[in-house]
Amino acid sequence: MADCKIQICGDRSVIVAFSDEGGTLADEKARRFVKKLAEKEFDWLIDSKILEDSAVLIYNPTFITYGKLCKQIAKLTKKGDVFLPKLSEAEQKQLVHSIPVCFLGKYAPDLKKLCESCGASESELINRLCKRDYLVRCILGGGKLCLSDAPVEISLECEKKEACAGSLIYENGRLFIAPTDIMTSGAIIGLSAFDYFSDSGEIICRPGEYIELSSVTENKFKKLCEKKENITQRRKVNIERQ
Amino acid sequence: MKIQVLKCEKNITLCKADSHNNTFERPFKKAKYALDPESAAIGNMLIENRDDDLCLEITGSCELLFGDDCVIALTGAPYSAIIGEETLPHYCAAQIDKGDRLEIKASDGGCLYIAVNGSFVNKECAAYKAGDEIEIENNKENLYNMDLRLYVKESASEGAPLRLIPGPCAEDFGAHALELLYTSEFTVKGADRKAVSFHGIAIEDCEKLQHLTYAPVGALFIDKDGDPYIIMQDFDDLTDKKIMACVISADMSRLAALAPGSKIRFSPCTVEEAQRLITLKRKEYIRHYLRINTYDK
Repeated sequence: MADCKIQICGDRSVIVAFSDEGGTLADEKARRFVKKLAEKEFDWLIDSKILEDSAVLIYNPTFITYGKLCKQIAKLTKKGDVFLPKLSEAEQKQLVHSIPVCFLGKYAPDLKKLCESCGASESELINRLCKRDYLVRCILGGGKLCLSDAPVEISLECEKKEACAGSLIYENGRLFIAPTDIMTSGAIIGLSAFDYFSDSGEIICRPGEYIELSSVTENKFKKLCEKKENITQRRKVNIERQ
Repeated sequence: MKIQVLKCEKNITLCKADSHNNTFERPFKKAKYALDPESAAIGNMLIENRDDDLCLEITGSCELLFGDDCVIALTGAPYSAIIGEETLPHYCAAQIDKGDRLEIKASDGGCLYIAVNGSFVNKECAAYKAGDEIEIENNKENLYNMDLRLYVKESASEGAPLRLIPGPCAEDFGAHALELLYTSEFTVKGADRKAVSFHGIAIEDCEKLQHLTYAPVGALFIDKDGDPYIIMQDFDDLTDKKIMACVISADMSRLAALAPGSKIRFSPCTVEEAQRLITLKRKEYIRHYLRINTYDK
């Protein structure tokens, strides 16, 4: 087994940490590994989760012991395509969710504070936020989507408050989206008009997919909220893996 | 069938008896998982429900009025449960008659679980207060054709230390901190659905991680005052704090039953030993599950 380290996390879970050969590559390895596990449908696997550059496995110890689990992980990472070369940008960006965000007034209570801290005007900062695609790195506790690094990196202190579903949150150089109402100590810098859940309750934006933000006016935002449907999801590139 | 909540001092929660301790469903489905999943699962097994079915988790005293005949089982904390002048036994299937008023008097620490044969109409986890009605369907009306099972609860190993598996970052805390954790006595400062916190000799915390990591229920951290705390079901499962150790699954019931003021020690355990104990407990469940007793209300 190469390039991954198994960390014991209690008697029912392990963290499989992949090496940090460039952030994206380790992220990609973790995603491939979790995908491979899901395909195998192991009876011992209760749940798995991608956590940036590592994967968390919750397993049933009455079906598999820790020792046997390590052997199984070694086998999977040895034979599998977990360590294939890095994907091209086009391959990576198979699915990009375009998310309309209102950066105005009550929808963005901490935007002004963030602008002041980084010395940019509101329009400048919004442009910088909307100019790029963000990789969904992982889904955090409370359902927060953790996106790749934000275009600004400053430390900003905010009071802990409730962020309603759809809030765009800036925290320590990272952007997050809250698909459900959560408590946050980050800066709420916008509100998105996007239903992050499918009819079956599954989250739509999965780790490995991309998100692009587009700024909308308050009127358009309200109209989008009324429609309550995801008209913005689109496929950019669809390349079959070799 | 309806159960009416007549009085409720603290909480009555419909929660899932998740015998697997923890899954990632939590953040999205807003599911409440039993604080003591083992006791909740046993309650369900006693009355022929699935072990991971929903059941009622009760903290504090309360009074319930049963609208129909049904079969229930009480497990978890040793709260007294009285119908009229009769005390209802714990860890045993019991028949309840229409119009029975079940009066529950809380004792210190832990939660009482009431498993009801049948299925709750409310499929999502919910909290109830005085005046609410809890609806149940497909409930069995009596013990006829049911094996009257009595689960003999393992005698609480009083004074025995809580066993811990070293966490992924245990070494970062240093040998001295680990020695303090395993040789000192701690007092329970607070216990709720989020965490059980302790007070004792101060242990030095180590630096935070650069990234977020997963923390299972039972993970032990050190707070800013140097006191240990163990996260429970309602805590976020991700953190940037380093995990010093994790409580073994076999001791989670004892952890959930700790009341403020009680004294506790910790001892190290290997993952192999912890998993051997899970298998052992499983076998014990099956053995007790098959034991047939007779109980007349």
